[in-house]
Amino acid sequence: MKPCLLAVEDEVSEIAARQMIEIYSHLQVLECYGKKGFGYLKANISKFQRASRQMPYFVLTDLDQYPCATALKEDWKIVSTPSILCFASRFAQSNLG
Amino acid sequence: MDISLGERVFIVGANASGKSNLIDVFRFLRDIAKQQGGGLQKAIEERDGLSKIRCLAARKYPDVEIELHLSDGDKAKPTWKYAIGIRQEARGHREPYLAFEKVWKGESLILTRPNDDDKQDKERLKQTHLEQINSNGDFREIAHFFESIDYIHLVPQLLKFPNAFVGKALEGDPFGKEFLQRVVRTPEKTRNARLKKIEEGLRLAVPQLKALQIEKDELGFPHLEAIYEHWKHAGAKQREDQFSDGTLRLIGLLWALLESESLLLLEEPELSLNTGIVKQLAGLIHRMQREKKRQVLISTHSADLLGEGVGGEETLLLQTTREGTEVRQAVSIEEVRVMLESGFSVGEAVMPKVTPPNIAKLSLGL
Repeated sequence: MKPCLLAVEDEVSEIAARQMIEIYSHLQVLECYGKKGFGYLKANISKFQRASRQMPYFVLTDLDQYPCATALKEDWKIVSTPSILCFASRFAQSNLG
Repeated sequence: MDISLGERVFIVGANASGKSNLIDVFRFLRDIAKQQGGGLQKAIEERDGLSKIRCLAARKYPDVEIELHLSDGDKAKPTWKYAIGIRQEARGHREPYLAFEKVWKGESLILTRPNDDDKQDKERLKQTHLEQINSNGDFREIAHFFESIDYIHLVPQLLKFPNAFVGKALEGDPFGKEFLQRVVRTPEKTRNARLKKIEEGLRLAVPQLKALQIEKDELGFPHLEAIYEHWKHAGAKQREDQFSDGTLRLIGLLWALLESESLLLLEEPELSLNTGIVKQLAGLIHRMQREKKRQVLISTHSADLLGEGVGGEETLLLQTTREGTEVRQAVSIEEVRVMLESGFSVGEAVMPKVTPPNIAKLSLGL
């Protein structure tokens, strides 16, 4: 299995993200970073992107006040690369929180 | 475990992963080499016997073995190598004795025990040659080095209320019960120069504190005194029992950094300190170490301590397994390397690796 890294807002998001990765990919999570709220993810998103050049990175954050994932990606200045998947969702909180 | 130790080494790991035990390897060697009140038997006895020194996950009763390579720099070839193996008598008093003791000068083996004398008189194996002046002449440099290893883990309450903790201070006073006596015993000129430096350092952390000095009370007991500036022109005089825990720990840490001439072992120097100060500690240690050219080993739980200026190659990660603890250089772990190369600090990259996986449940379980 190919290794990947994960960054999330909190423990609940981590469980959701690990489930998604396990079910929908052939990646193995080596480590989960973050878990300090969305501010940490937003402040470090450029570093996560840099890391994704070496290893696939899965970042899961909550949409909160953003109308859609595209708006969040634009605000966070996320440049799409083949190996970073920034997944913003309301699913994590409404179903697992 | 086989590890390489540079000029500055940070040791990180979860609680009970063995950080203090790793540091204790060096204290153990110091206790053997100590000329006054030292020796192999005493060093083992102080640790409650060989069974308490042996790896928890050990099967049966294996020997305890330590081998140290000493060199003048990170890349230099070892000038000295010292190795000992210790085992326990199978019956009777189950006293510990040497399975072997070896010394190399460069690549030449200059001592190997048991030798013929040891074979004739097994009692000799209860002492190392390292601890005996009559026998360590050819490698006394190693004995001096081990003997001068310094360890500090200052407990502010011991310093503030020494009378509440009866009994003599532990050998070498690692917890600072007799820290003030140690300061007083230092020649006056050196002592004042150090206190002045500490005061300068302290003013960055506790700007209100000035005029740090040592004063004796009417009974002749030494006290640390300083002026705490406030709205009154003269400020207020304070003694060590009124200092904050963080201030005392910082004083102890700075004193140790100024005093130590050899390998300095620091256990969790971040305790009681404000985050802003903790972030400065690695740089402070580096500056003071560069002046003195000695080695520092630091155990920590603080991601803030492992911030800017700390490298993955100088950080050792302790991870527990069913077979005991494994030690790895942080940078040798793929995901840590990726994180470091992407601009994250060592603290950010390694701390999730030493956090127990179910720790979040602690708050739910209580």
